[in-house]
Amino acid sequence: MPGTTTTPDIEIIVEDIGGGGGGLPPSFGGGDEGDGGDDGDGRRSWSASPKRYSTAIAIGLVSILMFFMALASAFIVLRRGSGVWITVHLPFVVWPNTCVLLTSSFTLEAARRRLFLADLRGFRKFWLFTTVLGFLFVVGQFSRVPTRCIFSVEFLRCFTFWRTSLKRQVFRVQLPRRLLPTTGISWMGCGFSCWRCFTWASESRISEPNISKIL
Amino acid sequence: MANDDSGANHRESPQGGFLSRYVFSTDHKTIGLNYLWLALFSVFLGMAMSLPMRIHLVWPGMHLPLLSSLGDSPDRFAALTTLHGSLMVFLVLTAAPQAGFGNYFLPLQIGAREMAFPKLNLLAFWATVASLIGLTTTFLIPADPAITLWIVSVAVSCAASLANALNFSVTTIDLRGQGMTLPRLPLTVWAWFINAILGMLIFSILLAACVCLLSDRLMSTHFFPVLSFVANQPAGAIANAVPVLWQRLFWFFAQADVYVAMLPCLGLVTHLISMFSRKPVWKERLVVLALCGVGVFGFCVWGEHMFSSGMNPFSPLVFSLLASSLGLPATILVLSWFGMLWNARVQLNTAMLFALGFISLFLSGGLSGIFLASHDLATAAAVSDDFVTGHFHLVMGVAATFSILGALFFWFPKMFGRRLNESLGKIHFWLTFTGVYCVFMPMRWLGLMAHTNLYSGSRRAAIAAIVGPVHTFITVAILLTVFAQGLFLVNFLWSLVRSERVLECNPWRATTLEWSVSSPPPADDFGAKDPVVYRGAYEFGVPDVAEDFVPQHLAPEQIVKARESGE
Repeated sequence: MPGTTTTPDIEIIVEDIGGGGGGLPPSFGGGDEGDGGDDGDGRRSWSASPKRYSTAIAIGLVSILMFFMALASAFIVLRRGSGVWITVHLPFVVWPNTCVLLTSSFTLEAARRRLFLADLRGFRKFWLFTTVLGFLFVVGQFSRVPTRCIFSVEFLRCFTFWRTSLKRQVFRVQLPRRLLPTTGISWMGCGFSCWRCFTWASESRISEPNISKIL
Repeated sequence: MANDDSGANHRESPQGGFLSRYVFSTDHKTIGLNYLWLALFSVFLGMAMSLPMRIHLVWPGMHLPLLSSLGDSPDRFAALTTLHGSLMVFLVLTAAPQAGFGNYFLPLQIGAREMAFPKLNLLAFWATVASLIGLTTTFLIPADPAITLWIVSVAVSCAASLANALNFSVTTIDLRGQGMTLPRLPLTVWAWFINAILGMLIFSILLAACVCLLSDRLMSTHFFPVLSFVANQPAGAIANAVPVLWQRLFWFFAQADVYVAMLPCLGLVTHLISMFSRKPVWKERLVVLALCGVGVFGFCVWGEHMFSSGMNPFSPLVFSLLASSLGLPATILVLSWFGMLWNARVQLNTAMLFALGFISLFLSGGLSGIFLASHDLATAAAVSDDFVTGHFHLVMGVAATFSILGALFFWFPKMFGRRLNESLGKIHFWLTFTGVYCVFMPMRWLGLMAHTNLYSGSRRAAIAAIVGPVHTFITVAILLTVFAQGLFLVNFLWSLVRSERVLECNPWRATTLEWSVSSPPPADDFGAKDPVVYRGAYEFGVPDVAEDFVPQHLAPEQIVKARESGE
């Protein structure tokens, strides 16, 4: 009908925390600041503050970092201190696949940002890049049994974001102040990739471990 | 006057059956109470496990029903020791002061209606319950699967603690009410917050260590090589660094976990002393910095437990220095407590008695830590671990328990709308206080004097002759102390159902926000209107005010009105 406006497919409510773009809807809820605002009669309905998710991700990252640091330190101590260290040789495809994984994290983050700037064209472009990179990763991983677990993590990540973005959901995330990924999954993907690069950086040859040397 | 007992907060009764109201409720108060019930069960189970250990130590020939029916063997004794420690550390000292009281009172004290992630909170609680079930089941099954189950249970407990710590941190940072700035936070909230940050750092380490252990047991990896594997290798094949790996990972968590257990207690005790001496916290900001210092230093002293492990010869110097430096924030805290007590009109109710008992135990137990911080004396004392056992039981086990009991007596009226019996409480306090000193002071003497290499000849023989009677004395004292806890149980259960109801919101004339609502608090904490905070948490002895305190939520115009009306 003439004069009607089409509603966007996805309803977005974004809270600007003072570093992102302008022209955004006002903040969603209260209860998060010590001197937060209220209605005229002092009543304030408690509602979930979107800021808590960003805070939780930032704090959770510290814990995840400590977890991987513990594993990495175990790796370093064993490699340098154990007389029976068995070199694990990886197939070459791990390195380009790691690059694909890292790149897909950045394209996924770029897609998310485009989505919340209501740039659907840009979102679709980066989403397509992420999907292609995801399939490339799957193809690269599928031939190696031990690394299928990584495939499942990546698949889960892509599937979860795809499903969430296509449903009519309200995204309670905040625009970042800096150009860094803010979704926890993206950070975990980057963290895992960096950890894997670090722990396997010294391996250069491809061979099977010799179990007979141990027994 | 300046006490808002208007009762404007209407009580909303929660809907739903028993399961939705008490078992699967995401209400922070329900979850906090559930944690306290869990801790209560765990502490009595842990105490019951300690009795066979002590009895067996002193009267080894005695027929013990529990051990005999399950196969009286060294494995069972070792299992008892492990379970006693696991239950007390993971399910009492971590659950009660932080998860129990913290979940209940953190939102109330900061003016929030709920924790940041209520469903995560519920999930963490049930993970803790699963951990308890796993840990207790390990005693009933054969050793090999029991060890695996223990590791899984500890890993689950770590995950639950991480979730709790995340919830606490985010709630404190993002959900503070209007006017509740950081300087106005009660010290209990500061302690819970700093503790949460520390927990986020250390529980990940233990989780990683558990993952490596499980990997060794289930997937034949060799993070921590088994002895048979090591024994079959040629000499020099296994470097010294490998066996130390587990020690490093474990103590990185465990030493800091001591402070995870103690930090909430330090905040609770400071809060109680201020409330019942009717004085503001002496040097409050310095106390907050001291709490931060305890957290920071506690994070850095894992090497305290590795002096004999073959580390770099210079590292004991560093760790000794850091461990000794813990005395500085501890001194600030003690001075603050004494500063509040000096010339104060102290109300010697049961909660205050437990707070004062905590100071005594913290001092006497903490002073022995100075000896352990020196690697020479620590090595000498490590021949027998009685000294170490006495030290950490006094300063971590019993002192923390005293603070939990003090907090329970303080907050019981708010949680249940009734009072605990003060006479029974005081009898329980004195029996416990006497009992723990009779247990752990002789134990430290045993560790330091009876097993040291400093003496020779007849003196050593004379000391060795009285070791047996001292052990017997300690065991009898433990039995009496444990049975004295029955008094507390009777008091607690009887008061829950029979004692007189507390009609006023604020029976202790306290200043913090939780005392502005009805007892027990309504389902939505503050009713229709969110509280607004106008001042700090310890406004006692304010001039030109009729009462000796001013609550945080009382507006300045209300104080003026009360002053003018002469209330």
